Amino acid sequence: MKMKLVLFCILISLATMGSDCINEGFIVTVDLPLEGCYDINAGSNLSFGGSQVYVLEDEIESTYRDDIQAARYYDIRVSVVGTYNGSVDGVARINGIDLLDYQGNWSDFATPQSLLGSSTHITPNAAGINELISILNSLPDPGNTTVTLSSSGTLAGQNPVPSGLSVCIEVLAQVDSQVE
Amino acid sequence: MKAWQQVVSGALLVLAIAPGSLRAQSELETTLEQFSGDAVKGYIQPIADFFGANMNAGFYHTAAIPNSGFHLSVDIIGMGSMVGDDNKTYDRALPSGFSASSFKAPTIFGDKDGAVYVDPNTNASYGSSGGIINTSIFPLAVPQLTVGNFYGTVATVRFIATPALSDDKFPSTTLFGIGARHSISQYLPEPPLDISAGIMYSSFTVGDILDFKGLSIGAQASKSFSVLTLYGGLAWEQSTLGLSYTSTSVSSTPLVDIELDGENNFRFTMGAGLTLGFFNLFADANFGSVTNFSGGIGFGF
Repeated sequence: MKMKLVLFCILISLATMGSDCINEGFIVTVDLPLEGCYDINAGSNLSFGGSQVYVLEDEIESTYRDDIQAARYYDIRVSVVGTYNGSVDGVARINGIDLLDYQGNWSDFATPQSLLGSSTHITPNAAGINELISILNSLPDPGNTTVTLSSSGTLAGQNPVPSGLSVCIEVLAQVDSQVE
Repeated sequence: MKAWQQVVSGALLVLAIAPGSLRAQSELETTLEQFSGDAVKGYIQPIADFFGANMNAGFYHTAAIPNSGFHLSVDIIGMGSMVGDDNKTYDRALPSGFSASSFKAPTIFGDKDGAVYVDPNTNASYGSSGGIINTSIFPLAVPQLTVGNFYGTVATVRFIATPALSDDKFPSTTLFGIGARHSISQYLPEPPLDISAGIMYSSFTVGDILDFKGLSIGAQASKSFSVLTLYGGLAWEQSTLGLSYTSTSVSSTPLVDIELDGENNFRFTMGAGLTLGFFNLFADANFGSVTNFSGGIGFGF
């Protein structure tokens, strides 16, 4: 019996000796995408608008909510869904503050226009960018943090407006969570 | 009960304590799911290299295989691969729009604090997760049962199952290997060395999303001087890490299903063993793309 116990202990010690080298407090970077798509009604009305509220806690994987060390955004992208023969001119807002203006032919936005990519169809607004940074800096308390992303604008060209059109605003952010 | 019977029954006891299959996902697996398919390749590649090298180690510690007569031995083998600085970072691709195409990010063996790239033109920043494992030697251990001799051939089986470690940071594992070696020297008139050839297949499952497979084919030689045996060998080997999970990264298709080849394809082994009655002590060094050491203790007759 002693022999069995000795063998058992040696084997388990060897097999589990890797456990001592698992880092305490390693950082896991988690994507935090905030995307809102705003439908444009079919018909003769060329104006559109809409908003969406996000509770940041719901956007972060539950494992990583408790110990957020840092957050950052790296891009804001504007894109469209559907086909329209004309142009679009609009503004994206964050918590009611202008985040960026976008303007161009509808087809220009069929490929997402990127702030990071210095798109000529997007003009950032410093106040809105500061609000975004402020929101991200308010983490690590995602439970109390909500974000309202909205957009409004007008179309010019094809009238009446066909069905199935929408404008999408996507904020690409990341949070760094510490895993103990 | 005789000593060797105690050894065998003890080994069987250990083999029987496989962990249950129903459990929560480990933090290693959850962390990997934050990566896109492209990024996870660089992050996890070193572990593919090291597991591959470890799995194919410790297969033999002598090339002497008698033509007949019953042989049974149980070995407990520890293996370790050296983790170098070049295994701690990889070039992680940046999203389009950054002025650089990639930045140095930690692998699973890298800096636990992660890395953040800040674009010098736009100040936009992009981060990557930190390393989970902090070690200079990546270990593995397994019991191995060898049975022979059948026309100069021995069969080897290895198996171990470990539970999740460090509060579920590292998932449960199951390793299985099977192989055979055949005496070549029995066909040679008065060979100066014992010579054998062998093949071994291994599989190693880590949690639900990592699956390693390894194959080693090689030739071995040994020479015994009283209780001391010097041995060595050459082997071709191949290992593959299969990785399958659903990614939460925005820059990835949700389903990630990739295979990574282990770096080690050729191995040169040098080692020595001591035979003291029923006991064997052995240790060897393995040289290839990955430097690896193995050693252990055996009981048999």
